Amino acid sequence: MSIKWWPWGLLSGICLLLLAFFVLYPLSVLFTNSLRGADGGWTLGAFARLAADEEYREAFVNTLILGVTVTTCTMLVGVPFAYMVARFEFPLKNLVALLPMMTIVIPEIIVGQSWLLIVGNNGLLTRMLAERDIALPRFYGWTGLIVSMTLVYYTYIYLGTLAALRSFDGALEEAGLSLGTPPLTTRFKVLLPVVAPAILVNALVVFTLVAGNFALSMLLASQVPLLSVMTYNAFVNEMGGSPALQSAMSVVAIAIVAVVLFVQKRVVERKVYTMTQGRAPAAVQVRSWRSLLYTTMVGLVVLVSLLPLVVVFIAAFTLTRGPVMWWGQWSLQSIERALRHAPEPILNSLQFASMATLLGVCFAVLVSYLIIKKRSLFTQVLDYIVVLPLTISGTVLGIALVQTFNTGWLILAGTSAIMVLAYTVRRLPFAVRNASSALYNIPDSIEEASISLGVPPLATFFKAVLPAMRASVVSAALLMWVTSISELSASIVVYTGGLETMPIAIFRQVDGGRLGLASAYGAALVTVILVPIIVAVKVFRINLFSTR
Amino acid sequence: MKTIRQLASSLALAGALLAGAQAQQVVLYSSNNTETIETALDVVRKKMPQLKVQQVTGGTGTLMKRIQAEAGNPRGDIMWSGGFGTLGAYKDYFEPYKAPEQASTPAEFRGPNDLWIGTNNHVMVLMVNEKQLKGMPMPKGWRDLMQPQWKGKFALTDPSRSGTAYMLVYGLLRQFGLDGLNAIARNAVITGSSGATYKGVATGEYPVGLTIEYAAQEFVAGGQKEIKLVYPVEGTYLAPEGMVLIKGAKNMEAAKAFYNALMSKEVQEALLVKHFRRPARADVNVAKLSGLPDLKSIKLFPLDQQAAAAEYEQLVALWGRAVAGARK
Repeated sequence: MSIKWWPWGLLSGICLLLLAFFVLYPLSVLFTNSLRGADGGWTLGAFARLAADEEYREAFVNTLILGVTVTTCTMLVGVPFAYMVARFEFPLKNLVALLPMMTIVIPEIIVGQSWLLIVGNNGLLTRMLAERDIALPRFYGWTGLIVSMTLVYYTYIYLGTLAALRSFDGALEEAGLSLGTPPLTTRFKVLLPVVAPAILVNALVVFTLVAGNFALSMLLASQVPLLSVMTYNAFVNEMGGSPALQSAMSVVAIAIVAVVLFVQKRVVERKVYTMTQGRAPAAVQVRSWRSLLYTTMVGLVVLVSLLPLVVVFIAAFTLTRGPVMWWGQWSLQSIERALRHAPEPILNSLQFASMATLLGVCFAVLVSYLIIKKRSLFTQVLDYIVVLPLTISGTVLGIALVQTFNTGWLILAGTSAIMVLAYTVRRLPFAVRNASSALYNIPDSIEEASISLGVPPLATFFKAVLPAMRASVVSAALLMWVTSISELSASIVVYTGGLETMPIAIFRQVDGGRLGLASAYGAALVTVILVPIIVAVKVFRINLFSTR
Repeated sequence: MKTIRQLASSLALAGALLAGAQAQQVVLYSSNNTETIETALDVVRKKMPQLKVQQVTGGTGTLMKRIQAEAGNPRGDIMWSGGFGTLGAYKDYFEPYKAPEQASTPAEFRGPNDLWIGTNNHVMVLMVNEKQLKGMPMPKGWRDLMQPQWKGKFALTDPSRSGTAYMLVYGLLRQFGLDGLNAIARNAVITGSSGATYKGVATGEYPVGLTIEYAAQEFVAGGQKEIKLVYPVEGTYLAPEGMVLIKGAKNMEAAKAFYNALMSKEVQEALLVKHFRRPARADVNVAKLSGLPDLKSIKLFPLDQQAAAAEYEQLVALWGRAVAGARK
């Protein structure tokens, strides 16, 4: 393949350089540190120590088990949910079909602590049932991890499956039926092969999210060793730990997810069918007991996954004395305290997330355009590097950035730049995915027409391609903004004085046992996140979670 | 959005005005929780209204490592607070200072060459959740918990994850020898952070927790009736905590003034009354102000803090073996 330098070759080169410096370089620092002995020589000692550590081996196995279990559960919830929404009409469908997106938006740290408020050992429900001599299973440990993570992450499966079902060309199914294949067989032979890759791709995303999960693991898994928690603890170890050990742990965490993503790229993505101009079969109106059943099932899932949001607002207005919550007695003191101290972290969150969104979305649009429309050797490399941050859990990314940009000619540690960098790098793969999906749907002919009419390539990009992408760029931006605002695991590692964000403030309150105050902060954060979304969706009619 | 932007710009303006009006600012590194820091700052602000304090909070270990990593270009000015043993391990990074207020603190609670000053004393207690005892007798001391019937009934923080838990385990080893340590390791549920221990007792996860006095007392004062504090009959251990100035601090003068203010009787009394932090100062009447017993009336088993720090690696390894032995 020959490379034309102006303009796309040059831009590809610049993108590659930026990614190399801010993604590959920190990772390479991490890798070298993991192989450095105390005397400065090369050694595999850190890995040997990990392999010999019984608790670490247990954590390794636990992480895999948890990843597989939660991924399975999310598929069991998400796929039928999407199928019901895509194929049937039932009462309240439009409302409940949208609500699962809320779970992506609510910070995990809030979800985790709310579950504890409800079903923790001293939780509302636990105590209510205990009075009737009913003992709930302990929520700490496996039960809580699986339940809470499933209820957060099923959304990814739901959205992915829904998109695939909606882009599925109904004509194919009709063809099968008209050739005399029974309906059920048609579904298995025609619908499943088309939708399955989409489900799998999202299942793998869920697996990586579970493996790297920090907030929920930290809150619920004090007795279940998990890699993400151990890695974080190695970083904050009270008496100082060895950088080689931290790095080795990080490398292992990356390796697990890298294997999974490699499988996705190699095996699954090749099977993805793209359907152009497909028309999904119309949803079937269901009546009587079936409509009731569907509404109840879907409604129940949504209700349970949104319960944390309700509890946060209740707890925010509940009377507290020190760490003790007085349920049923109301008070404004937590809210008042939160409002007094919240402006700084809220402003930080808004500022960092907005910067990261601006940078990330511009970069993502450019990169995905290069990858999809201007294929070259460069862009193939770009394609791989840009998804790399997916393999890095937030904690590991934070450690890598701190280890890299703490010394040397470019010192970013301790400045707001490192927060913005952490957000941008972490959310970049998602932004690229969003932008790419829009680009696939823009036929090359538009561009060719413009260029053949004498408009230069760059101008064509701005005048013809970008406007066609507008809707998905806006939704990518909003999604990136929202997920950045609730980011915790990377920012808690890199933040310093004056850079505290809302999720960090909440984490500190939860850690200190002040659930009332944490809830008040949480309520403030959720409000800050939801207002712009509601405005965007209601006033500007932006289809935030565009499923195509 | 517009109102948010207006709010943001007006706040930014206010910030700029404040910064212009006074140049005095201090970066505080602290392992204390936000409420405790706020209480101290509320009192300090009355004395030094023009001082602006930026906070970085985290575990003592995280902050110490941060101080070490930033030694070439310190970003923090003052660190409040860490166990004496931990401070000893990082003493190259501190600035000696003879604060005017230090006279009221007994010499045993001061660092060598005035490198640090004791702020408060942690006292180890048994925190008991009476509801969860379920027929078991109230434990009286460490020796009770070494008996087989207490297996799995009490929590103890992993000593490599918490400075106070480290002092506790060190004390057990000094007082009861390896046999005592093994007996405790055999029976205890090991938690990953000191918070997990006392929060676990409060929520009923464990009937008993070996933890810090102030943390347990917060639940008593908050009105959770089933929580009781037991001072072990065999004598308990002290873990004094201290505050340091960071060597090469950018705002040294302001930091010194702030250091002195944090040590003042007013601040220390406020911390005792609100958060049950037992001051290192000798001139505060603990029993009268907080309802906690005076230090003199608690039976103590004396420990050498510096020796405790020096034996860190050894003890952690010893403890690791004790726990591994108990699993088999």
